[in-house]
Amino acid sequence: MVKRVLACVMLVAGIGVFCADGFAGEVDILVQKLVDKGILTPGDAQQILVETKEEAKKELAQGKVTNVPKWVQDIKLKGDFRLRYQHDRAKQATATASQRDRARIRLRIGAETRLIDEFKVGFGIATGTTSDPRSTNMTLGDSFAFKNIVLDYAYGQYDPDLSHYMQPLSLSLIGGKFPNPIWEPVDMLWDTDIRPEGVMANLGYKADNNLSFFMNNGFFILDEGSSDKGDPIMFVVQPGVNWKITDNIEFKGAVDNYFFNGVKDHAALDYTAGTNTVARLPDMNRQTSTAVYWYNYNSVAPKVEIGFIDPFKFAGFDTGVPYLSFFGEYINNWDRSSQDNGWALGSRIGHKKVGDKGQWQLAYNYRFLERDAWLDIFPDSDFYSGRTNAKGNNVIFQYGVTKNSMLNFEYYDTMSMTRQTNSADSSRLPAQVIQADWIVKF
Amino acid sequence: MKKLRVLQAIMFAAAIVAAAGAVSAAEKVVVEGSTTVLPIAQKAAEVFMDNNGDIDISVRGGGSGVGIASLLDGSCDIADSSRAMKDAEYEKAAAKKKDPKAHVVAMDGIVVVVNNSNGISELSKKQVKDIYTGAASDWSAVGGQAGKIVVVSRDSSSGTFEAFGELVLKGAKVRPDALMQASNQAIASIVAKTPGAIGYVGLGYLTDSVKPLKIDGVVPGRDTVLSGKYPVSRPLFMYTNGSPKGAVKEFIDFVTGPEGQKIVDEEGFVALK
Repeated sequence: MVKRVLACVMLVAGIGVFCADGFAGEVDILVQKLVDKGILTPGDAQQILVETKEEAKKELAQGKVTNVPKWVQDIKLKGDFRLRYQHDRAKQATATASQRDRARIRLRIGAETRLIDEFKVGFGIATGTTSDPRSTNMTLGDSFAFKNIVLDYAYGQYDPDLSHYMQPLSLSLIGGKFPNPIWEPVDMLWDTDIRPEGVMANLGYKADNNLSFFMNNGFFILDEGSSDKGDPIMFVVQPGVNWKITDNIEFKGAVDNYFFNGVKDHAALDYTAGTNTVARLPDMNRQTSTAVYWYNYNSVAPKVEIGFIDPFKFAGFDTGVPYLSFFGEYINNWDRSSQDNGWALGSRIGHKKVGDKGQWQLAYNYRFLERDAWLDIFPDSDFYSGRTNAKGNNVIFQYGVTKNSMLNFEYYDTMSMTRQTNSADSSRLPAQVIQADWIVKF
Repeated sequence: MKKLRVLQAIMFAAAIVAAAGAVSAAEKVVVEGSTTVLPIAQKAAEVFMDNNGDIDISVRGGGSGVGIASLLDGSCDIADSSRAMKDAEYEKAAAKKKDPKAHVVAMDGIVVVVNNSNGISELSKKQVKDIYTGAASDWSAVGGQAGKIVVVSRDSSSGTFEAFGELVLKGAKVRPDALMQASNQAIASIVAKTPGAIGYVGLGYLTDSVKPLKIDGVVPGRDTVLSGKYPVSRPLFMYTNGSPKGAVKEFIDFVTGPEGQKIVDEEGFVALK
């Protein structure tokens, strides 16, 4: 009897598999009625309902696999939307402080798929313009003008299976324009919107569950000119370690080594913030008055972050704060002997990441980046407009409103390292930025 | 003529050898997967083989994911699983031209228990999660009288711990000072002796020595587990490749039949019949 009922329900389920949710509800009602009439026991009913649901899931999967190529089935989509209010206040060299209030939006959508197990292709589109590699914001206004969508990144990635040679070793070879794999505890050197262009070879070695090593190696193309014999390029080698010292203490550290070629004596790169030292006088080799870089930017940048899980939970004292970390970063341009250092120190408290309702994080960092410590085409564009020769404070508070949706408040209080030489104004031209964001990730 | 006789003799001998081989080769069924379902499968295999000498059932654990992967690879005949197959696993099966078929063999219900002297009679699933993760460490935080909560849990190798983690904790970690116990009986014993304690046991291990709590307003019991209303419950599966046939069908029928369901009860799970 039960088997006949099961067959009946399965047949109906087979017909209705394509209208899944509503149909499942109808099967539930039917089975419940049979239980109420004493035809089925609750156990039989549970068996029928669960097995019917499993059959429906299987048929959906079979339909999907049969009709669509595997690389389409394997496509993973992700994205985020940000609505921002931004207040900028900056003292101008020749005038009083200017103020600006803006509403801005950012949309990013990314996709990746595997053509075969070891080869992946990814691409992303985002709001933004082709004239600013450090921002994907679009300011609202201009009589409702349409906003630009640009190619954010596009890359191919080859992850050869090394398990036959050395089980814990992994390798990823990436080429194209890709999300930056260089790890940094705070965006002092690299604006998070930057997508480097070139190739990378990233090695990983997992010694055990608590200790792993990585080495990110990149060759990036900074510019290409048809008449330029020495196009500016850079190499990066970033060895690092992830170490879970105890169940409650974790450590991450790395030392970036940057090597540049073709930057010194090259004309200022596109989208420079204009604070690196350039010279307009022609030197022995150049018969031009174009502004060229006076120095190279070969540099070393050690960085660390140490995190404590349940940091205040000892001796019965429990504040409910789940995470606390301290981080620091330093850079030295060894091609210069002065104006060549930068550093940042900071801390995060709250949840390690804000991704769910009620989660929160408060972070603070202080940054100090001298004029020629680093190329001024890379730093965080919100920190003194992405210039070098700048210092200041950055405070961030994030709060999870729902799963994958959060509020973000950020404050920058920054200034130039050098005072104005103008007799009427010897200030450091301070600038403040306040940002209030609503961010949704999907 | 002589040659024909010799040929006949050879063919006769070959037929006898083949028949003997057929008689002596027991049909083999390999069962692999969930450690939660393992005790049911092991006990059922023992009893089943006692009554069916020509069928050899080999049972091993490894986890639900391992069992399902083996079923899709063809290295086992039945995959034990304490969870439903994931969409990705069904898609993998379709790509490999496999046809996994689910058989619900039992229900697993976990009862949250406190000391009989505790005034609390009901908690929400969220409150239980808060207690086990350390977000709530005093009974006053969940509506009880002030007093430290003593958290008692199964050790991480048990299937009950795995089920509790999946159904209640949703992947969060049990607070580090929880008392980890190796059996349902040990949990019941500690909770019975400790006024501020909270623990959890399989429905089949519930005794009068501890007080069962309603979860989200639902009383834990056979009826509420079977109806799917009790929130800390889940079905347990055996998956086969296609509709079972031969010895595999006989074994599945045995497990879902009266004798198998008696074993389900004896092992502390909720029988379907």
